[in-house]
Amino acid sequence: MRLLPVLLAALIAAPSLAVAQTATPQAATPQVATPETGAPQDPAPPAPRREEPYPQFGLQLAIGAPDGAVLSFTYSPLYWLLLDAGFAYTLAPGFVLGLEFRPIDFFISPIIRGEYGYYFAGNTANQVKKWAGIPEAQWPLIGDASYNWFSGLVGVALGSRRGFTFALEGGIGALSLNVKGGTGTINNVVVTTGDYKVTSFMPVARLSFLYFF
Amino acid sequence: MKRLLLAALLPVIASIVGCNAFNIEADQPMACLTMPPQTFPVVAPSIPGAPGTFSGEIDLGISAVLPDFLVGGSPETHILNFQSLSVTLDGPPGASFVWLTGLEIVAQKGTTTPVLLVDYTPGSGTIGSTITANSLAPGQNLIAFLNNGGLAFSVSGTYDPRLFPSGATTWTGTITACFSAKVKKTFQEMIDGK
Repeated sequence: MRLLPVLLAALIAAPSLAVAQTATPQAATPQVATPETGAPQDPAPPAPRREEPYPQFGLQLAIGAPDGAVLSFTYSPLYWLLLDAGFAYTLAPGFVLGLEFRPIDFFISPIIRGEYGYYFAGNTANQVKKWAGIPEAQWPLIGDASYNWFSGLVGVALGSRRGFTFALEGGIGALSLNVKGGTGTINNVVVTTGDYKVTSFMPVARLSFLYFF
Repeated sequence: MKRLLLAALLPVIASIVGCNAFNIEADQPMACLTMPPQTFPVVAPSIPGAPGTFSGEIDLGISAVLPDFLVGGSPETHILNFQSLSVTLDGPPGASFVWLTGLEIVAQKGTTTPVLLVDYTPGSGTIGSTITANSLAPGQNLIAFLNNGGLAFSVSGTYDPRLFPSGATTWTGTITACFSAKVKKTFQEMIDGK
């Protein structure tokens, strides 16, 4: 049930892919008239056109939730397949790995993306304490916190596969916040908490700029 | 083009209408509260040969010591389970619970139906200065107690007057109670402030 939006998006995008693959236009061969006879004459066969290979490497800057800000290196072994690995920073340093399909080489292209991200323990726990409105007396009960997530996204990319593209994606994700426990004395009661986990099934969104070189 | 736009918009639409599908879940498998030492007056038996008794009540004050996001909410979204209890006897070196013949812990507060959590009877082994007992109702959700004013332990038990320190009218112990807590809320419930 939870995968329904992604599946629907993929199904809707599929016919466009088929059209893009089958509707390769044939170059029309113009008839040229010679000045002497006025009769049409076949021109010399055109030199075979050398297709520029697609660039395979790119640099990507993305912002999103829960990604934060990500600067990643992109490798594209096939024009429709992109693999990326990047350094991320939000509340703490982390990394994001992505697998992305851009099936159409056109100015506008659908995107299907899968992603895994991990943020190391940094300032996350302090922010969680503040955002969750936890009284200062209880702060010792919350130790270091790291988080990771998996997400599936669909979206659109605008731009050239051979140069700069801008992409907007949305989807669903499963995030897991892993919090270390702690010990504190509150109201003369000594409280010891074990490690605990906060998980969320949540919407995710991502905005990215990619430049192939 | 329309299909492409629709494909891009679908996740956004799903996000908007999916507030009941999206959720957040926190799982605290163990949180232990060690109370300040508690003193229990003992009542000597009126009939020779019968056991003596003791009783007392401890207000745990859980709402004040555990994060509100874990224990502040309705029983539909929050679960608080009692897991285990240990009692350490305060006394001179060598003091032990050798005199203890039974210990019962009942969760109670206000009008909430009391729940028997511990019914401890010493085994045949050596009894030291600490006793530990697991919950009789580890699946019982105690959140309703917190919603009705708090969670208190009613402690009662029996002792063997022949083994109890002569002349003593009380015993003092440090109680540690361990709980697990779980909360699951949909985004819609969070928006609604439930």
